[in-house]
Amino acid sequence: MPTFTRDDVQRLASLARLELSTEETAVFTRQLADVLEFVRQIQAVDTTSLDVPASAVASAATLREDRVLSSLERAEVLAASPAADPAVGLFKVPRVLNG
Amino acid sequence: MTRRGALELRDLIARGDRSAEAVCDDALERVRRSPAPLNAFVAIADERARAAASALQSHPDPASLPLLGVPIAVKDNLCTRGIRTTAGSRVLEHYVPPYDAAVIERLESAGAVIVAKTNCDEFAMGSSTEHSAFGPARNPWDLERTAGGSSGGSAIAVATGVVPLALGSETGGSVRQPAALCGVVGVKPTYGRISRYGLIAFASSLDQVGVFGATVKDAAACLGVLAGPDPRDATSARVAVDDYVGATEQDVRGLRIGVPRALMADGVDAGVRRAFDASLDALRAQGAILEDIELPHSRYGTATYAVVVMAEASSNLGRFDGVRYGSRVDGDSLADMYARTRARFGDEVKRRIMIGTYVLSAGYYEAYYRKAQQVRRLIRQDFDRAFEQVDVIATPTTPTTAFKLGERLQDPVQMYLADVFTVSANLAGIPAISVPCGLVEGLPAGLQLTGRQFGEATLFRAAAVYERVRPLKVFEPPTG
Repeated sequence: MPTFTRDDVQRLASLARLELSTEETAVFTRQLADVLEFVRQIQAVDTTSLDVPASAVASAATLREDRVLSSLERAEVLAASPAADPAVGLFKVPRVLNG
Repeated sequence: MTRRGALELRDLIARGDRSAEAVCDDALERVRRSPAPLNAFVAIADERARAAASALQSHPDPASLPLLGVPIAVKDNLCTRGIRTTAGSRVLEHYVPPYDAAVIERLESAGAVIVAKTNCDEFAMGSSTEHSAFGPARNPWDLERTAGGSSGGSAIAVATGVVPLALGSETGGSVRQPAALCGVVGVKPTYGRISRYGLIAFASSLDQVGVFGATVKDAAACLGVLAGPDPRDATSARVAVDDYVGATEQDVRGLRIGVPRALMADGVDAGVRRAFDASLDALRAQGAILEDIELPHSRYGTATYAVVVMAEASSNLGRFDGVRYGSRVDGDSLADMYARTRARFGDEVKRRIMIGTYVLSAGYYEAYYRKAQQVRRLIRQDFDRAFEQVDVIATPTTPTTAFKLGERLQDPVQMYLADVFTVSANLAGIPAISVPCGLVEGLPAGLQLTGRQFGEATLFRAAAVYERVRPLKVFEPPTG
């Protein structure tokens, strides 16, 4: 069975870009192990008769004409951002490159 | 105040006996007076509702509108232009969408008036409406208990008579389960039946908008308005929409109802079982034919569902990064800003993102995600086979009545098991309905009917017959 350590949880949190407190890491270590133990039961199912993954929809892809339609107003979209520069028309983020 | 159904209200307004504006004002007043402990509503849409009701007065042909003047509440994960839409998350606490969800447009085009946004589990992740940034909702039948979730607020809104109709969303039972626990009708249509444009995405191969109604007929009328293709949602189906309201007038003579006895062998509360058996007897007395069926892989439904849903959630929720919408917590670098901003997610959302990240990661993908997709396919094949034999499948909607608040909060696996009878319909992409089937020690239980893809009309037909012959006619909770 999967054993789960605090380091595993920290690694997952880092991959998922989630900052966790020490308390959260402790609680999640136990809970994530519980959930993974629970979902492991599917590994007992015989799926040898199947070769491709399932899809909820069996419909064929449909094509449509390529037409230009109106989109959302740029100013309105930028207004929903926590940090945008509407005058320039850009979303703002912290510096990515150093120097 | 006398409770009026959606179609009854519509007829009153169409005849000129009431004005849409008066009906709207009454509904807004009921939203304001909704008891605070229920915590059903997160926003009142005063201005927009009054403008919509007022516009109906000058509509050229009001009698043609199927939901003329009907007040409706919608779950807070459906985007409403100009009205804050949070999905129950602190991450979206200030988000005001610049557009309406397709279902909002369709409701308003049909004459409905949106009066409020309802409380829900954060990003619809949960079965108790306890994982909401606005605090838990409470069951109007017992304030110590959950209203179910994730669309708990919408279920309460209908159960307490604030509105005759409400919208929720379903990924694994989030409409049917709270409908059952609060004593109202809840419908999860076929995957692709309703456009999801403007529904905040959770698990895209499962998500679907659903309807709560005080009666089967009201829910049928609402689905008739919502159903149909939309070029903005590539998964919406170009399949003709049946006459759902007409279906509620038919009988069930000769209708074959399958009962998966083995699936219900364990874990179903004795009282819920008795209510369920009595509902089957009532349908048989109306001419339905009961047959035992097997759904051998549905016992793996909850575990399969957990893997699929968490994988898809971890991907979908990547968009909440503090850049384009929602709130931002500043950091020293871009990565630091992301991590701090996303630290504002609640516990359940964090758990699901991390497990989703795990089951999709190298070395685990085959054992978990791919395996779950395969089991999902087997679950669907079981249904295909069963529907060669029967027209509808019946189970209880939930194995127990409403559980106590807090009881499952620290035990995610127990919380997931609340959805044991509902998740399979989402995994198979097929429609299902929950109808109240009695009270067990003062708490509602639900009868669930599941149907073939795009077979909603058959579900409305059977559910309406049951509703007509059900011994308990009215489900009105003590609070509200």
